[in-house]
Amino acid sequence: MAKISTRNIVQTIYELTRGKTGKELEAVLVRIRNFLVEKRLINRSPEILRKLKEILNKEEGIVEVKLTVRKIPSVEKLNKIESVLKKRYAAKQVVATIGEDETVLGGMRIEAKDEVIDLTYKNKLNQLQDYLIRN
Amino acid sequence: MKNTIVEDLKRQIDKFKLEIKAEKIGHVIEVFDGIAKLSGLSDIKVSEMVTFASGETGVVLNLEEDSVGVIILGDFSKIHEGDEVKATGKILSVPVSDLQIGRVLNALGSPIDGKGVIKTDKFNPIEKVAPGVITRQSVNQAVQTGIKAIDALIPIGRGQRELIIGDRQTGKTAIAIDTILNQKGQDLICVYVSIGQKDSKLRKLQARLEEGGAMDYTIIVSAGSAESAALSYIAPYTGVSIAEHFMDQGKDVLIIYDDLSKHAVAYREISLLLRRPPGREAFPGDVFYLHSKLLERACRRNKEYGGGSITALPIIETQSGDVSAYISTNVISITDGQIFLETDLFYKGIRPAVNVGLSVSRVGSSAQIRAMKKVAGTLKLDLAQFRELEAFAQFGSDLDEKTKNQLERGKRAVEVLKQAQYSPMAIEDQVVTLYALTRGFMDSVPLNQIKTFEEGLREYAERNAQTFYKEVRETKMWTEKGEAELSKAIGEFRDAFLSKK
Repeated sequence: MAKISTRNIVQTIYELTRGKTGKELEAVLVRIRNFLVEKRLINRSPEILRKLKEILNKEEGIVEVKLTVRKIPSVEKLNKIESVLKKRYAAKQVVATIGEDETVLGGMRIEAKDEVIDLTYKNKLNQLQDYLIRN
Repeated sequence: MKNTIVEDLKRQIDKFKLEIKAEKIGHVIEVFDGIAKLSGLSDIKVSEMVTFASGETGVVLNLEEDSVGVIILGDFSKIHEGDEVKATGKILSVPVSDLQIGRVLNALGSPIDGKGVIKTDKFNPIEKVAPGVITRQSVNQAVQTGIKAIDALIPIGRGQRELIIGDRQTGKTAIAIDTILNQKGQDLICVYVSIGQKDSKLRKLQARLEEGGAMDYTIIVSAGSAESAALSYIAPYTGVSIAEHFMDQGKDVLIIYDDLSKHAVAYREISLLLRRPPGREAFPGDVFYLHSKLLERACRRNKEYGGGSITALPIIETQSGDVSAYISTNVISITDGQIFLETDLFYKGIRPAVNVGLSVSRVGSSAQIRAMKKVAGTLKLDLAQFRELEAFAQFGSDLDEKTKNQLERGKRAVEVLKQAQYSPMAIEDQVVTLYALTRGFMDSVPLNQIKTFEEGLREYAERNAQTFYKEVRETKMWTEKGEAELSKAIGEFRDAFLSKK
């Protein structure tokens, strides 16, 4: 028997729940939960939820971004970053999580989807170190 | 002094250009036995290198719906679940350079002999499509192994793929080493790829090559038995990438894979861990392709494409002489012939223990020099007839004169083809010995004195058949004048030898 992939399950859940609200949605969700329990797929639920969120975000044009900085930047700067990221990922909305990390020394590291843009001083120094060792 | 250092550093920093780019990242889902499963990394390609947060590198082998299967080239104990992994966008490549000659390298092309770093900017991808038909030409130049049984009966040409197959302890590596030792001054670069061998064996082998002056034209690529299966898997591809670097310069290269049985086992291990479906003997379905894509890279290029060549001598270890096992039959069908070594012959004292009946070279005869062709032409047939008669003669002693003579000649042929390890013989000396054998000069020499006769003959002939030696060495040709001179010298030596006794 063919294995049901997580992607198949997520796609099906998305199709079943699309456009539904209230009691109708609740009934569908109960059925989905029972199905996952019956087919022993409940242990895959964290991955299913993660992928479902990805699909919903894509549908609504939301991009989740993780910013790592030494010190939280001003609102003005954050707005500027947001507009750049909106353009880059063709997103309607950018949801940013900002994390402080002193070891980055300065600059910022942007993580979005499975992409990373590392503009930290730490990365720059690492690159310089590699260059000097090589040459 | 201080100022110079500061100035140098300043200059280097000025030259430095910062690279700002978006990198694809993923995360480790699980790690086990040299394998990692990763999430993320969209757009990644098969064979692309990835780098882990711990600095280790990996190569993508499996692209699945939700994950990526990677083999880790290094210490996987440093990699943890959730670690970040970066795609490099580069297909796995190894450094190649002329400076690698004389060095011992690991499966990633880095030196492991403690003789310092090899500086090079050139990298060759380890996976490459083999040269096409248009670029090739047929084999027309010999690789002299220095082993009589091989050069006379199973000749190998430059660009050929000749399998060395046999049980454990039958002298497979010895043939390979003797072949390397015999390449001194032959304008052939040698690459020895050691796969899953003991480090002690490799060290001994390196010492033997150094002693014979063979490291001046040899590169050793090693993935030891203590290293991961991933490194054993890539080692032969690294070796051939280095060989291609020299072939691209129009040079001739000899590459030895010791051995492909262990290579197949390493690939089986990786494939099973990556949950690829097992087939016969639990090997994955693409194990034939694993070796065919490797051995197809051995070729002889035509002049328009540089004229270089790669000759491959893959080694396969059989179990109890079973050549019908999966990997053996695969590699036999891929190669252009095989040298079959037998345990029985080895313990009978016939060394190299080559089974002449089962060994074959499909293309090498066209590369054999004319002088050798002339003397060894009927030797294979004579030996085959001898084996048949020998079995038959066991049933009765009442044999006719012709049969008795044939048996005596056969016994002498077997004796002549015996050769000690690490004593490769020059082609002209081989021709002299085989000429004396096939033309019946040795028929009257007692069997137990054949070796002494052979040694004495070589010295005598070199002094007294100089025209013949000159012709064979310089033109590889055979003239009636030279033959007459040789025949006379052998006759004289035989008479003197027998009268002395």
